[in-house]
Amino acid sequence: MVSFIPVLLLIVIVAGLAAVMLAMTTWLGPKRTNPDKELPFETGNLPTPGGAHERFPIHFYLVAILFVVFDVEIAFLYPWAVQFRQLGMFGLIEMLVFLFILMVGWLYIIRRGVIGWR
Amino acid sequence: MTFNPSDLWAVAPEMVVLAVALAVILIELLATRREGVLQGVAAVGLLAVMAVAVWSLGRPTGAFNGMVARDGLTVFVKLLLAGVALLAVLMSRDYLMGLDKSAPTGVREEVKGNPPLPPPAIAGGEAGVRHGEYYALLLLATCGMMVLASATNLVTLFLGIETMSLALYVLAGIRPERPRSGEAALKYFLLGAFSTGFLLYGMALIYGTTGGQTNLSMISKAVADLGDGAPVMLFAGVGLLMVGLLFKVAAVPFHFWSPDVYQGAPTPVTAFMSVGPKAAALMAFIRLFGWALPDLADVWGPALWMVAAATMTIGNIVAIAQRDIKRMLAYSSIAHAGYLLIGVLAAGSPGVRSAATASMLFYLVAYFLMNIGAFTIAILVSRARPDGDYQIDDYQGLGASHPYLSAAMALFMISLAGIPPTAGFFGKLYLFSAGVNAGLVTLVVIAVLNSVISVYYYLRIVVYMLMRPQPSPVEVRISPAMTAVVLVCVVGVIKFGVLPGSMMDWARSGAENMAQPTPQVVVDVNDPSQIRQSDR
Repeated sequence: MVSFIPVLLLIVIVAGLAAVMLAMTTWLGPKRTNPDKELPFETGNLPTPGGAHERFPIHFYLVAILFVVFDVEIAFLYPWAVQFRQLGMFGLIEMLVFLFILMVGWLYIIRRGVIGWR
Repeated sequence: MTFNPSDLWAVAPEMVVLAVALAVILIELLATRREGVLQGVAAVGLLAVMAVAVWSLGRPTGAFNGMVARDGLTVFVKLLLAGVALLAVLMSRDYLMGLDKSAPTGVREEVKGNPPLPPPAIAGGEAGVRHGEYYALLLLATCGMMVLASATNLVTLFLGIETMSLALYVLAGIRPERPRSGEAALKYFLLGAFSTGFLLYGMALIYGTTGGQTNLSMISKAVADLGDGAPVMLFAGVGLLMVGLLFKVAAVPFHFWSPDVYQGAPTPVTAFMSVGPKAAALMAFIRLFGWALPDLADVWGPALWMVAAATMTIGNIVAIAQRDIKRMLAYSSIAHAGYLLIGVLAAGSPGVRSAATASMLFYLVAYFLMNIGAFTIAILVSRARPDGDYQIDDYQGLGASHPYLSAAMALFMISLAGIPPTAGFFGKLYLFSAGVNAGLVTLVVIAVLNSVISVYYYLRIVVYMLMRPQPSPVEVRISPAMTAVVLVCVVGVIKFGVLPGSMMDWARSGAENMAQPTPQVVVDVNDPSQIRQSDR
């Protein structure tokens, strides 16, 4: 139990620091608002018109999902590349099988036209 | 950790299923979109899977450092799962084609206040089922079930459950233009995600209390070492794990998703879902509770006893009130899960472990045949209606116009009720006698009383078919593939109902030929001397 005291201390310091920073910006920071600043932040775009129940195309959702797939691919490729010599032929074949399976999915995406932006 | 090429035999059926799934996707993308070709490839591929599964049978052993088992039990279940998938593939074609012809059914169930949904805006093509992805998902779900059934490590168990579930979530919603299908998929997905959370939390607690073990035999050993000093956290872990698995077999009180999902999903998928995941999850149950954690039977036994009793009682009583045959079969499948849990409980007492497992295997085979058969006939009858609905009233007077079809349906219903001379009767007989031998007399009495209740709603369909004047003759058209599925089921139900010996012998030899692999290399991460210099 005693060995966890540094962790506890760290938690206290982190929470305290965050609280102090938030409090200081709230109390000390100047507040000059204009209508642009009051808009919801949508990464530079104008906010979605209408209420939250508005229907809107979600093409970007598919692209975002695909990004996750390729992210996972990198997550597997990177440690394999680091350990390439130790894993040897077994690792190479294993990675080729993995890439083949992933490429079938990639081909599927292309043929279904998910990447083409309409 | 070294790689042993002979380990690949343990997962050979999974590898073939995966290869066939990829082949189906590639054929649809590159060669042809004709459904007959895709279906044929899937069916032939599944036959190959069965051959490979038989071929992979060998001395019971483990593979991949104790991650999966390679033994008779696994082969038996893999054959069963491939069979379920094969019949589901065969009955799918007519179903999907029949729906393509009929008008969209979404209008009737439109939610008030919202404008009608536009056709699903999936990029690049027309709405509707891509047959390639349908068959591929069916095969991938089968692959996950096989992994789940052979898992001897918590990690492979989780991997199998997720592979199976993710494919099934999509399959439940594969008709996006039908609101019910989407509802089924969403309900299944949300509740399934919750149950996965329970499962993982349970695994984490077990991992923590057993000193970092994930292999089932090592967990068993660690639990035995703990003895009476087992912390409450371990019991909590076992309980959470049980919740996660009970969700997959749709046991009360974790069954609320199943009637809605079974009703909303396309019927071949429902037939597949009512047998495959149940068989796979029950095998995981057997390995986990029967083999790895019998020392804790005092803890999980009473809980599972209550769940089994509640499952069969509620399943059977609610089934009586159903007017929709898919919902009725959903509740009946809940009740059958309750009967099967008797087998898991019996496997917890060491003396009858093999006998209980064998009786569960036999029951699963019987349930597979009669349930798939009943769903196939439900598809045929519903397709005769213009709106494709599944009312039980449609069976009125069917006996006069379609005597053979009605005879087959009557056989399946009698078998589901457990009346001789059918496979369902012997399934119940073996299962209940294993229960009695394990000392579960009260539970078996409850189960027998429940079987009596179930006779009412099963035989109601028989009465409707044979003893009611026909109000409006439904014209049922039967294709060769559907005939084959019904014939296989009829022959199986009669064969295992008259001569159950051969199947029971296989089940017994499968249950006795069981491996509990342990990892050869155990690296203690807390001991620096065990970590090789090159890994640093």
